[in-house]
Amino acid sequence: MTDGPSGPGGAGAHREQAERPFDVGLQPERTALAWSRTGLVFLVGALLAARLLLEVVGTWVLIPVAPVVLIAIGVSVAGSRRYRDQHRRLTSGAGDRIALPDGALPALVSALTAVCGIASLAVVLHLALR
Amino acid sequence: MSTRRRFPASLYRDGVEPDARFSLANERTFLAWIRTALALLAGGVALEALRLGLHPGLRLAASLALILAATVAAVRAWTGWLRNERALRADAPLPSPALILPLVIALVVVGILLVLGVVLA
Repeated sequence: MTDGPSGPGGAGAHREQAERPFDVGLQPERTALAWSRTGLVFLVGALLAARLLLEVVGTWVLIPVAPVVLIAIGVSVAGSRRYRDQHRRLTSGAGDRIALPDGALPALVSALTAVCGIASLAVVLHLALR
Repeated sequence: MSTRRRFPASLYRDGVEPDARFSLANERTFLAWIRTALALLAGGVALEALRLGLHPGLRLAASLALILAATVAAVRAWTGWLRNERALRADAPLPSPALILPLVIALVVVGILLVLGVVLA
């Protein structure tokens, strides 16, 4: 099933055309969908926070909410670009053990989510102590 | 061989490129943890923001527990991805999902706090 990194092609003629998916299990496509789902959850979270906090803090709610909306858009766009990058590398005919995009984007998303957690902590304490 | 530096360098220094399918599965696992963290976060904020008719101290405790669990899950998403990718590159057995049990315990604790919060409202 797996080829070494050297040499062209692997099992099956389907890798000869870059238009065809790399994997009949559609793993890269499933991963792309996972990225867009994650962007959606960020967006829904932002809208939920806006709805919940609007009555409490008024238009100040935009301060925590707007960055999260930007994160949602960024995650969706970055995920889409990551898929195209992965697809291009995997359909280049060099087998399925090639270098994929690295951990920079996951690290960033993890850090941003943790920051959202700390911000939520501040919001909740503000709500509880008012 | 790509000469562009990849992050983190310590990960890509060792081992060989794994089957892409495994790396992609690792990536989807990472994203699932991130979505879990966001769901916990939404629950924690909603609990306080909606001022549900619970005992205020217990409600706050449950909310803080959810937010703490969310932040831990967000960090765990990254460390889990890193450990899995390292194991894939070394063709070693994957590490066990070490934080599933604490997460379950945290959710059980939150559930208990909420039940008590309703009872003692």
